Amino acid sequence: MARVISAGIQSIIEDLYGRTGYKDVGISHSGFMDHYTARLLNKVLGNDLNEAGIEIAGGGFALEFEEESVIAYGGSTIEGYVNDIQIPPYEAVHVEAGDVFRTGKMLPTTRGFRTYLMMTGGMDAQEYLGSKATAVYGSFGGFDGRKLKKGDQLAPGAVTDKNRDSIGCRIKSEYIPEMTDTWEFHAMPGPDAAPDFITDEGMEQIYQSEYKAQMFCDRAGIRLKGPKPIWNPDRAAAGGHPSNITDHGYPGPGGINVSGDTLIMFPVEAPTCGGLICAISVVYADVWKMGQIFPGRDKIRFIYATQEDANELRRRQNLIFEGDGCIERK
Amino acid sequence: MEYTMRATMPGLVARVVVEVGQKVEVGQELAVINCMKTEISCESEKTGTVKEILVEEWDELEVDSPMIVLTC
Repeated sequence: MARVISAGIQSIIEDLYGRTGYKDVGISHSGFMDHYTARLLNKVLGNDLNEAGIEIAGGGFALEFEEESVIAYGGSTIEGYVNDIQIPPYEAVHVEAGDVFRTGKMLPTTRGFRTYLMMTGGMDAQEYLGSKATAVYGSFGGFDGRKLKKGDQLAPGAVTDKNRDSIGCRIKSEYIPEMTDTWEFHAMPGPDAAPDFITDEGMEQIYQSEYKAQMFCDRAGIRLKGPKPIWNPDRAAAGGHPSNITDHGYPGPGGINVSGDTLIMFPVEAPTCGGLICAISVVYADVWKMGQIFPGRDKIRFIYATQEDANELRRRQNLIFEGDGCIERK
Repeated sequence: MEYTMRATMPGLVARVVVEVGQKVEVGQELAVINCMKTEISCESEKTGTVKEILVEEWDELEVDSPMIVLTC
């Protein structure tokens, strides 16, 4: 077992895939916001890539282990410590009963917003609709369907021989995601793009503008500040706001919704349907970056991508996790 | 001596719960920040008297933004 000493603002149990196949009944995926980092950490520990771990938003988390485990952390540039001794990120580290893992403080120089703590064997959490992921807005899955709080007793998985072999292994530097304050997202036009909803000029504007994340950022949406979209004039003349359409399923995670004149990125717990357009859609290989956007500070740019680009980026990213080529022994 | 309480998280000021001239203790809540729809209590690290309140409700704060000044 392991006991939460400090939970921070939002520390939750998630897994990689979340719940798929339930969008038609209004249940969004959930799962890791930063799926790339979480997969690297599971990889270095010798875990299944879908093993559940802890997603820590903003730091301030501490966990005391009551039995041995092998852990790895990574994501934002917030440091990780075991018994107040700094440990390297993206590296499998052995902890004994009584050891305390904690994250450092968030600083103005911090890049990225979410830190991931993974343990050997994942987490023995409540599975619901095929996933251990916490649905924060549905209050199910994970640990009693809620974010962790001080005193919670978690159940990390058992340490296997494979996990034990991973001690001292780390992810090669070229595979570690770079944390920044300016994020670039490959995004495909649509499903609600030019010419029906936004003009060609308007689509060009989206791809050429720099947006800034507002303070309103969470697992359901990331509001952006930026130029007003250039709407198809016929829609503007039809009455109501041109962003309004008949309710339909939203693309996600990854859709870029336009609510009034505000762009909203759709992460893993975004609404599954609604009556506003989605002008572009971030490709799966880049969706992880949404988890590292720092509220109120980070800048966002969109890079035009085709379906072929999206497929290729995803194929190349998935290749990293085949075999052990991304891992080295110290 | 002065002490300035600073934001530990980015977010919006949900409320300030002290007034200028009020005496406060170590660990006392002085203000609340809203980050990701979660209210985060901002507590004083010093005992003193509130000299100046630098923020208002709905102000946007970055990490380390100054919030409240105490005379200690």
